[in-house]
Amino acid sequence: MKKNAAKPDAVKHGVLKSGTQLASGLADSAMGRWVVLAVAFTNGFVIMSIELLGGRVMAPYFGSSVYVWGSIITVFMLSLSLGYLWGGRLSTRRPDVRLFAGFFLAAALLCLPIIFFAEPVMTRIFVAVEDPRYGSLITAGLLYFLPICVMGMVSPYSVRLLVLSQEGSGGVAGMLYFVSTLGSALGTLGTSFYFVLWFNLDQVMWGCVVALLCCGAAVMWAHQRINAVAAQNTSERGVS
Amino acid sequence: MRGAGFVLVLVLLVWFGLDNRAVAQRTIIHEERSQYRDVVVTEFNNQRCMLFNVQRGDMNQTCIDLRDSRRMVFNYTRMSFAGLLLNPEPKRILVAGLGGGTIPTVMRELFPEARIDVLEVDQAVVTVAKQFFNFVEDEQLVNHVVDARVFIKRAGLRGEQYDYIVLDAFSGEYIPEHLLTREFLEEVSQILTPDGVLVANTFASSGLYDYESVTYQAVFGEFFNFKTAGSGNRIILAKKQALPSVAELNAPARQLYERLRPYGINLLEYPAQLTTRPDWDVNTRILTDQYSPANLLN
Repeated sequence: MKKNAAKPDAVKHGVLKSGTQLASGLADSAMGRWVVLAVAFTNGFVIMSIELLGGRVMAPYFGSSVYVWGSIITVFMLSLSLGYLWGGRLSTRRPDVRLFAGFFLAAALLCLPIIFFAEPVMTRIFVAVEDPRYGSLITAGLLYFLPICVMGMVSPYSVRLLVLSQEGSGGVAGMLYFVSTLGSALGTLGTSFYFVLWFNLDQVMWGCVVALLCCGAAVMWAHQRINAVAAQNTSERGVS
Repeated sequence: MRGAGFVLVLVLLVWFGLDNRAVAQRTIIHEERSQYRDVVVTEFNNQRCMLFNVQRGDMNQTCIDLRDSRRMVFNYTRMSFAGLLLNPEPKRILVAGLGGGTIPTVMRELFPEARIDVLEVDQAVVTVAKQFFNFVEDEQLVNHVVDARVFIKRAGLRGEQYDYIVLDAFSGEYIPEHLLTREFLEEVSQILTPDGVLVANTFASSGLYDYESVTYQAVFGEFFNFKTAGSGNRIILAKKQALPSVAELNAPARQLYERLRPYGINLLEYPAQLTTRPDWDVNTRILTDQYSPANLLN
């Protein structure tokens, strides 16, 4: 209570419009907001693309039975749920755009083992675990938990970056759910209908890695543009 | 607008009406709930059939003749016994895909000494085969509820070998894409004895024909292609060793003819219908674990 009392009323009630305390800077410009929405869309797209490919990655070792899909969906849901939790916690203190960009870099790097180590990992598990239900569950956990968990962190963090006011928070969250779930829908459709027909599995995975890296780069680029404009404004004001 | 709506309703009524009539001709005697799709047993015209996805008008998976259970209803089931021309005395038999169990049951009768493993991923199919299609397991004939790829990979690791392998795991509606790839066929080849034969029941007229053909060619080299007029199926007969000439197949055909006759199989007709000549586009892309969009290509 005492801490709150020290803050200005506007901040206390969460209706502060300027972004210094509550937001990060990306929310201050239309370009920054578009970049956050675009990376949230791409993130949703990539998550479902990787999930769809997961069935094909694991089928040679564990079959394409219902329980393989059960394992994949379980691991993806679990990873996302923990990602939401931890991403949300990370955002509460000082939201940092560089950390936000770092999520995409980390997710991209954590996807690489799916390309390079899926076969040896699955061979070992196949030998060690007789029951394909648990074999597929362990494999899905090892290959997908970390990257998908990090991708889950993106969602709450991007809400934090865009929310400027308490009454606007629901609208911002709704917009972000909208674009990221729309991305998921299109990622599912594109991968299952077209990508597997046009490309090898690994080529689609590389596409996902590149898309995530581009997201990180776009966030950093927007961050620097906004900082540069802000610095220019400050110096101009200083001169006049 | 109202006219168009009326026409639409009429079309739907006629459509569903016809649909129901087509189903009503058959008597449904049993429905078995499955993890994958419901398995339905129907009877019509003294034939008992197993069907998947009745609502979508799926074709019969497998049928038996109730008057003469030895007579095989489908041509492709008979055609699959052409594998015996290349290995007339199999001792270790693997059948992937149970259906009504016709192929393993007949093999059990023909070769009482042989040890037969059957792979069926769907427990409901096994239950229905036992209850309605006279499929019986014993110490020589064992069914495994398992994905064929998983079983075959494990058999390869254990160093097990079979001298007669039948791949009959394609139900028409959904194709298991991981059972069409080069890597899978290499795993099959690994558990095939040097003089063993692979019999694959595949499609004759789908978009997959060329893809399947080049993939089998890549793993086994030249193979016998067996198609008959009027059948939507083709049988691939492959060996690891070089294939014998067609003329060399007449001797085993004569030798087995009498034993197969009770099942309606005229083995003497088969050698002349086998060919190694490619009638597919040899430049088609090979199916691999990295690239196997079989259901999209079909």
